[in-house]
Amino acid sequence: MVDLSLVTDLSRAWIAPAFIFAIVALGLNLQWGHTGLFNAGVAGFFGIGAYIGAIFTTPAIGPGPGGPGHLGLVSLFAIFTPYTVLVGFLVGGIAAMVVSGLVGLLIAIPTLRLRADYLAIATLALGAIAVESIRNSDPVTGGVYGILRIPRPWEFGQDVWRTELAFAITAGVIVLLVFFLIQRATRAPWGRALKAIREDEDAALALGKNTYFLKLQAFVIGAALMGGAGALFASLLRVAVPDSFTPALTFSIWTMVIVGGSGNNKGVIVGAFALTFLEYFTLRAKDWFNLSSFWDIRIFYLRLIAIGLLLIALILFRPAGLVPEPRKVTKKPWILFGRR
Amino acid sequence: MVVQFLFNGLVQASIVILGAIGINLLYGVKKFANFAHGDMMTLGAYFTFVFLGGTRDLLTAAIWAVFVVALAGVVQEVLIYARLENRGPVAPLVASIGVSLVMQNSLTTYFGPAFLSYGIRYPDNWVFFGGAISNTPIRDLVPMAVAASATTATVVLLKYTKLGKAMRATADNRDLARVSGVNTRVVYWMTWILAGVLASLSGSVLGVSVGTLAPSMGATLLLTMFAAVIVGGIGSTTGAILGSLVVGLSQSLFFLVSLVSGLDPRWQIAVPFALLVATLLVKPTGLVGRPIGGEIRPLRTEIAEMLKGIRRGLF
Amino acid sequence: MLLLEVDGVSKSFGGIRAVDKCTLAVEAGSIVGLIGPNGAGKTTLFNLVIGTYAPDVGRIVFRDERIDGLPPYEIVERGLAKTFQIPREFRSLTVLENVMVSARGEPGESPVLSLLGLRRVWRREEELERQSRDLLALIGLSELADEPSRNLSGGQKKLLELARVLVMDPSLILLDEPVAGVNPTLSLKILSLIEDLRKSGKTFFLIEHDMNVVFNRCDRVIVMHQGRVIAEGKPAEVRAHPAVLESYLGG
Repeated sequence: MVDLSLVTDLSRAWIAPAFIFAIVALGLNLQWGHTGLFNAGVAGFFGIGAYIGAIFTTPAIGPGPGGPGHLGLVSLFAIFTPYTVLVGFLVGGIAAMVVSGLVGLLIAIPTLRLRADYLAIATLALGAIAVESIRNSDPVTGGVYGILRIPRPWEFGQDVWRTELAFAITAGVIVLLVFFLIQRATRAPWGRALKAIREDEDAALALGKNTYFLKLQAFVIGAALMGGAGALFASLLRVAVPDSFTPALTFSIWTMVIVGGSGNNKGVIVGAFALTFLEYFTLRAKDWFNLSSFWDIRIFYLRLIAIGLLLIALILFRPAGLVPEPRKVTKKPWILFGRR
Repeated sequence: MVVQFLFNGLVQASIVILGAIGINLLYGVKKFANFAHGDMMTLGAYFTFVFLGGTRDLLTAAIWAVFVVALAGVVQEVLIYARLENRGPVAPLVASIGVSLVMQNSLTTYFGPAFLSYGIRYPDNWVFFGGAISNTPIRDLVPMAVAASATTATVVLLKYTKLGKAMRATADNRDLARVSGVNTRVVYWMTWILAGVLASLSGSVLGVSVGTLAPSMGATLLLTMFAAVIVGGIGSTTGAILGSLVVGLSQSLFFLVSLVSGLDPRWQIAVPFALLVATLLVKPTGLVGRPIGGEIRPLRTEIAEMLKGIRRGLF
Repeated sequence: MLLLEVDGVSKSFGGIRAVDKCTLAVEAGSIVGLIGPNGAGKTTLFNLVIGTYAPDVGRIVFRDERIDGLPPYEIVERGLAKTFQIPREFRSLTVLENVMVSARGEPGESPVLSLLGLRRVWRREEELERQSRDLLALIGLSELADEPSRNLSGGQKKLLELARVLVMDPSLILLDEPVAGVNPTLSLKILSLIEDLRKSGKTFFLIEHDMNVVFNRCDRVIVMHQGRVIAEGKPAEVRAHPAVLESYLGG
């Protein structure tokens, strides 16, 4: 008989987060791997999406002893009982994508004309401003306290393993969908044009490509994906707090993309699973290996050191990543639509 | 009242300025943005703590720490950055993110996440100008003194010494400098040493000023330092100095304005970031910076073209 | 008819005036050579025409329409194209993909249409692939069509530059040193291709340092020195022009 508590644990602490980070990484891969846009503000888009998702699935709470309270719009969907939360979840997910995409647009318009390292610094700053804004918008976001007790779209009460598994499967289905769509778009002429921009923007410009607009498209779509993933993340953790969305999170996603091989969507998903497993391992090592409390605390930092060393090693020796890019960028999709 | 806040702004600028100059040097000579620079400061602060255990004299400890951080810089150059020389600005940037993770978390692993302290007893407030400026002597004046002297020394070094000229030549045009007989490897090493010295000093100063040490103390300042460098003008030491002053004073003045006008004072943290973004949008070369290659067309033209492109290009 | 007119164009970078009140014209259906010592401003002029830079003063007119100040993608749309002096291939794309990506007005370059995967998009892709392969055959790069372009030799990359602009089907092609560093057999091939294309109605404006090429293949020659046009006319006229000789030997 399968150990149900293991199912619960794996689903909640490895599988589901891995799927969620895979979506973020796919978004970053679109921006960086395909188009060469260095987005160091990933955590900001992710965070914005998380809060939007949280707001649409959680009831509002007024100020009180627990904190300043926060906005909650789930009551809009009360007519859909018993599927209130599910509808909120779906609407919230879409809203998260739209809002993140819009923020991405605002950020991209002025910054896309900057060189890659300037773009990195600008997006790092903007990501920080985004999180700071969330932290300071008390009545809406709950300020430092955040939004708590975020419900899941499907709850199975006592059968926690069902709840967790259902969520992990949901996340997995979404990843498959996102992967399918991204592959479709990047293997088409659009993806080819983006690659050209990544390789040599000036040459692409001189050949008549509207590089600014193409970069904008890639950035906004990538940002929207990060926002959608954020909404999933809020549901997973059941809380949304500003301190979750640090530059360290951005750098983890970067590592996933670089490990997987920039430009390679399958590799990026592998990278997400690998790094999330590393995190899972760190969390459970205490139980598995009976660590002293000294090492129990420090294993988290060791993990980050490992990630840092991995990044340095990759950049030095395998900048193309561990999973190489396919030789040909363009590939016709299996399913076509439209007039014959 | 305003004067007090101006003073506070100067103090804040002093803490940032040495790191900003270091970042600017590395950017100018090695052509990359060092995301680990804050952690070099933290390294300096922590090693000052370590040596303090041995010598009981803060100044000596700080000076010994300088050696450690300078060495760390050279090690990074030899092991990592020398191999990334011709890979463009992004590769070393990513590597520096890795270095930052390694540095910060190694310190946390060894020292633990709890706050440490130099154990200084801060004297009572001094008051200047009949009450116009109040300050905590060690907390406020030490950063300013160290900043002023180290900055002056650096400027003199860059302007009048052979090394300084070599560094500036390499920053301007590496290949030309090489051909003119400059040993660029030595220049790189010296740049890292200089940047390391400044970072370590500013880390020790930060430790004194804030009173506690935390593994993330330097990293938290990274964006502010980048803001100072970019606002002032990348590639120019004068720019780094000017930028630090602008950023420090703006942040302090914003705080003042927020207290008076009812704006949320918590936003003062975002002031440097906002200045950074504004500079990149309006005048990316900063207040004093040299022009970067290529043309950056005005924002209005870009937006107009984008709108045209959207109208035609969407389908 | 005058296909391209450059009228009083100047461009400065920092304190240096790269192009100085330059005035010239290119007639439709001709092959015009642009020569001059290094630093004369020739490549800058090309960059001004194609829209990479905008002139500080002056006008650039193509087919009686002003194009100065327009971004490259609008200028290319009107039928202009330019190669780079040092080939800038898209390294991680194959030779064929390099050519296909250069085609203008591809419907598939919209994210929405790509996502939908409309038959219309992919039918055009097949047609484009056919056209591109034909072009590669004409140029002699067929066997390398699926090779990553980073693996090509210098001369082959020059050919690729040419293929990329040709697939755009432009009316006026600006070639920046099309046969520099290319072996003589290949040079001959490129030059006769240019001649054939001129017969089919295209106009060529080329920068070259090889005087044999310039004087044997060009209908007219324009000479630039220190950003200014100092002479123009038929090759024989220009060859003997005192200012030209002085700029190459003296200045």
